[in-house]
Amino acid sequence: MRVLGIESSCDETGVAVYDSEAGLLGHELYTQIKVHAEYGGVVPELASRDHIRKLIPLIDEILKRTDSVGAIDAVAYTSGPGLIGALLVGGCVGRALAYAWGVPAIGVHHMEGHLLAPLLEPNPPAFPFVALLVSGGHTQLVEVKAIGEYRLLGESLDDAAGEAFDKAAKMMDLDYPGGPHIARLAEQGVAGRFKFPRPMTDRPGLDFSFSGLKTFTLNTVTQNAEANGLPDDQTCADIAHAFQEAVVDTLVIKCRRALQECNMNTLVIAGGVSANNRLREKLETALAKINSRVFYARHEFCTDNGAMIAYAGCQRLMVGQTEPLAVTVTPRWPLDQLSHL
Amino acid sequence: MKILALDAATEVCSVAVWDGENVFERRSDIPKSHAQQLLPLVDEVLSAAATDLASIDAIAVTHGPGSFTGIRIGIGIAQGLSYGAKIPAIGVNTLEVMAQGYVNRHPSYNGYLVPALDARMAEVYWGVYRVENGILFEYKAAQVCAPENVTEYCEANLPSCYTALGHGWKVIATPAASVQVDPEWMPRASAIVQVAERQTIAQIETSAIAEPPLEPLYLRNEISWKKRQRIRPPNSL
Repeated sequence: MRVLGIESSCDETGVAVYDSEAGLLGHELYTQIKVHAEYGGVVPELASRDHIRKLIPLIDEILKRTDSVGAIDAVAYTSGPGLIGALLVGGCVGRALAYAWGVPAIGVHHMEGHLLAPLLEPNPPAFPFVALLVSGGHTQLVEVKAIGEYRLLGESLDDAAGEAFDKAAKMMDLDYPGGPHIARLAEQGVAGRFKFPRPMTDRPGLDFSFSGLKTFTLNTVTQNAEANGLPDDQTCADIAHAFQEAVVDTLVIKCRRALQECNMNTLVIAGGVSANNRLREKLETALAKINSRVFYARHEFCTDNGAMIAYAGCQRLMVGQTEPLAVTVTPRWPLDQLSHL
Repeated sequence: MKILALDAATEVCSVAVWDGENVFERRSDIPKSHAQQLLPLVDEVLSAAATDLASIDAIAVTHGPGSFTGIRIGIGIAQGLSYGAKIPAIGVNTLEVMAQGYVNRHPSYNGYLVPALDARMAEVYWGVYRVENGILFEYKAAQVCAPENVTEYCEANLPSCYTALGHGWKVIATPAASVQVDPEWMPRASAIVQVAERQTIAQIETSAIAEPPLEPLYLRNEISWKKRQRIRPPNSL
């Protein structure tokens, strides 16, 4: 079965063709980062305007490049969670395309897409596993028994980890999205100059909180600011280092705890923050000590992309799940409400 | 020539098929559910017209002005159908479709039509059309502005007995009693057919059916979101 995947839940327009026999045939991504960077965050109306302009040309490109014109057996599109206007663009285009081609369509849960993205890699993890979904919109620990069998173990009570990266970056006048900029700056930082808290690690449970860390960062930036309102470059680097270590350590502690509570030894990390090299490095070291392993997708499939939607959609389509002609999108959609395969 | 017409630009949505002789139409007035309604309506109306998508020669969709989300639902569905079934698609003006619908209902009407839609943020989308012997001409192009400006323009430029259409007139000051006002008048897909036919023939004559053809006509493009203030140049760290 050859599936066209469409992702348009936020600020990336992604398309891909996945074949259940041959694997991923190709993917295309148009990122709107430049559009939104001027505003310091995603402006939903601008995101929708860009999706509707870019989607058909991207689809045309991927179908031609993967030699899939006239060969698509089904269409998968992200139907939630995400920005409603942005989701509607991918949903309407995708569903109408499937109708015109006379093939089935399926709406895919964006976070299920992320969660399964590491299964596109050459040595995929085996079920069951614990997944850390960590992005600008989510920070969740999920027990995964099989596709569609998810149990929420813990989540952020306030900001997502990626959101904390974005906000910390903004405080130091770094570009949006903040993650890669904080990470790059942190490499020049001196360890130990600042000590940031590891929120909620001193008590049991698997929930997170990053808003206190955000306030701590703001106070540190303000206390060290010079006349222009910012600390000097080296101090910014030192703050970025301390901030990143605090977020990464917090995530590592909770991941290890989740594995032990579920009595499992496989961790999957997915979502934009799973591209953070420091997080990968520290998880590898920490999990090795408890005979566990961490799996993640290649960098380009950590952030939003069409490949994960094509893959996740294909798994559900192959067991006969499909969508009616009505396009329904679900901006808020808990992962554990998904149906089993 | 068979035309498939779609409208989801306002609070109502509809789909119509013109098979060269008859118009078949299906409508829904359930607000905020256009994405759920539109494609099932397409399927229904194609069956009612005893035809299928492959037999359609052109797709026409209201590309604005109207609700931004509604416009994109209409265009998104039209794009998918157009690209998937290799059918040329064109966008038509929502206000012109409202005016054309009025002419269809009142074939003997001669004079001026002023369709207007509430654009929120204390503005309206509006335009002026002139009807002569059943034929519609654009008199003043669609635009967005404050309701007072519409009143001012109409008083200065139109005869005292024009017809005002659409919910934009719920926010524009009530005009003189000689003006006929129908604030409940909505666009409908059956009227898209004539607008599209005029436009398609014109475009075929100048062989200018664009690809990709469908661009939303938002009219309101000024950015009301606040850009961030930067201290150091971007990417300097």
